[in-house]
Amino acid sequence: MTAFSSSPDAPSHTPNNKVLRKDVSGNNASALMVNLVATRAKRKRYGLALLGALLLVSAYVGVVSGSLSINVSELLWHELSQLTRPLFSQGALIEEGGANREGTFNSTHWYVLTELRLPRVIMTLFIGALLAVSGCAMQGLVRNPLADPGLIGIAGGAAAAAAVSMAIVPPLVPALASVWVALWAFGGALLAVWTVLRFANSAQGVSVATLILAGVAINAFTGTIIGAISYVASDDALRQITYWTMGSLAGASWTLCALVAAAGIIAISGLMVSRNALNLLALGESEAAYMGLNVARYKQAILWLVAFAVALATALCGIIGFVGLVVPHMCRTLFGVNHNVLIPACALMGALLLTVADTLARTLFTPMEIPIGIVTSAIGAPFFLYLLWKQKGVFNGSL
Amino acid sequence: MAHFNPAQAKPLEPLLDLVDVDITRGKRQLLCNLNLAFNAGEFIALAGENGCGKSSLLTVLGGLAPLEKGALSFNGQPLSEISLQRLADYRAVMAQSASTPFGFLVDEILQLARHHIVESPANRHHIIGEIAEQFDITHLLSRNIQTLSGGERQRVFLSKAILQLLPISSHDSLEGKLLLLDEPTSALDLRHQKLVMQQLVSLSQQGLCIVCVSHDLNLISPYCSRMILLAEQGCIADDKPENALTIDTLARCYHTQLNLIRNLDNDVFVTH
Repeated sequence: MTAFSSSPDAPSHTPNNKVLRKDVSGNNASALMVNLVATRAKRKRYGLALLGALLLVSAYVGVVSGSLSINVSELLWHELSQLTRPLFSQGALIEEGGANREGTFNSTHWYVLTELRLPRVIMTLFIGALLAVSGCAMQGLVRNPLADPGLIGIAGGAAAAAAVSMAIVPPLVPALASVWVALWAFGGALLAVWTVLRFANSAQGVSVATLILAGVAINAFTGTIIGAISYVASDDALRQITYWTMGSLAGASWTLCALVAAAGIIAISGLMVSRNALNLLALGESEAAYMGLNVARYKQAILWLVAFAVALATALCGIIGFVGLVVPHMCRTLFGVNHNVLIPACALMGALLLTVADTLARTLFTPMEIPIGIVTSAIGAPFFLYLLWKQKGVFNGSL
Repeated sequence: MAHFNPAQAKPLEPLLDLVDVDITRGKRQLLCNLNLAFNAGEFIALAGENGCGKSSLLTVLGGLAPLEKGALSFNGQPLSEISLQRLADYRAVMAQSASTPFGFLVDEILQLARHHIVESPANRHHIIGEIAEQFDITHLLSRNIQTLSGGERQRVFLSKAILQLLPISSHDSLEGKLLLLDEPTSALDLRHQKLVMQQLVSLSQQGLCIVCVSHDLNLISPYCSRMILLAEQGCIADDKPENALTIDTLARCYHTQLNLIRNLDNDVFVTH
């Protein structure tokens, strides 16, 4: 026993050995913390500003390019001078002859700009932002970086219901066909989400594993419905269904634009409000609960927010894949995983990428237009594979 | 819920009081009629063989699992009546294998620990810096959590749990607060084991009540103020470590023959 005597600095309860919190100087580490946070805030500001600038450029390019190229500044100048003409009628007399010749030409351009291009580009911005932000929230919520909103049956439900409305129950008023299909798709998407959540909800809250499995089952079921309808549908309806499932932004109008913008703003601000909750949930649900988060409430709220926003986008534009999956990935590698930055970054990046994709879809083979879903998948799928290749081994065990 | 205020609790009342509590997991009954009281400033080691209900007990103490039988009060109020949001100010938990599929940076995780506390950024950074120094993770602050080793990660999540409880001013007491740890030292090297133990003792001297599940009895017994051995669906020893650890209690607890060595300071060490 004597060999086992305690050494001078052996642990004991005597006060001489205690390390009080106040005694330790935290100056070095605190300065480091301040530095870290400041550097990151600066990087975030510059990064987001750069994304915003790129977005403006791509939106401008989207507006001017197409089968009819528009010189926006000339057109704006002309419209402005038209408006102010009565005020300067004396001086305007000189150029009277030229203006008459250009009148019809400019009014076509003005129509294309204000009634076709602008609503389409603005709607594309919001759809892209909304899809990307929803994907980001979905991945944070189920703690799986490979998740997207399609996972809980939104796209499948919308497509199946749209197919039903196109092939089996045509609208009473043929002029309202697109509204009719959109209503069905919206309803179908929400029905699918509701069904999936019915299975996943238990006394302990939403079970993520059941959520994913029920989503797979619902997607398989909606696939069956679409297949069966395609089998019996007329050629015309079949073409319509195929076209719808490939997604299109061609139906854009100021009314739809306002709808999508409202949904986009609500979704983005709702998720911005829950950014802290998403951060905590990313650490794990019990961890988040221990840290004081009302997990059940936030999970329900975020799921339904995402469901409504994506259901609306899908109902209006068909299925646009990969934006919700790939954009959050890109933003995580560029901006880190903190949802404080990730959500605004996803909104900007999603808007940017979809605007570029839609401009390409319109201009690559003019006057033919490629369905936007094909463009996003064509860019998104290889890029996603590239990401997986680069991160090989990282996901081991986490799936 | 709104009336929860630990300052109003009677000073002599235990911080955490379990009366006739049963712990079940699925349909299996793990612990039966448990009566325990934890007080401010205690550093309690919780030991027992694998699957005896230590972690399940921690989940119940942490307020995440509903109580099936018995009563559990925290600061004089039934635990089930305190909302998780309110509880987060007074109780922190370090779970066994905390991890995240996303590459958070260490300092972001530490900042998240104080998301519920209203304080200036300068104060927050100062407190995080202090704790980072104490647990030797200053050099890890800007690292991605997924690239850390098991021991480094354990120190980060332990710091996170402690940061959740630290008051805004370092002069405020930690009395009335509870820290639940599930094997916080299982991946640590000897230097960091000693460091973590010394820091925990220091925190308990400031009034914090610490309940620490551990299999490393030799590491924790010289530091803890009380040792609880769980076996036979209950608590078979609850005393100072030098009294709780006997050849008899160890045999009942671990179902094998173990030896004890006692040094001159009366500290006890278990050998095979």
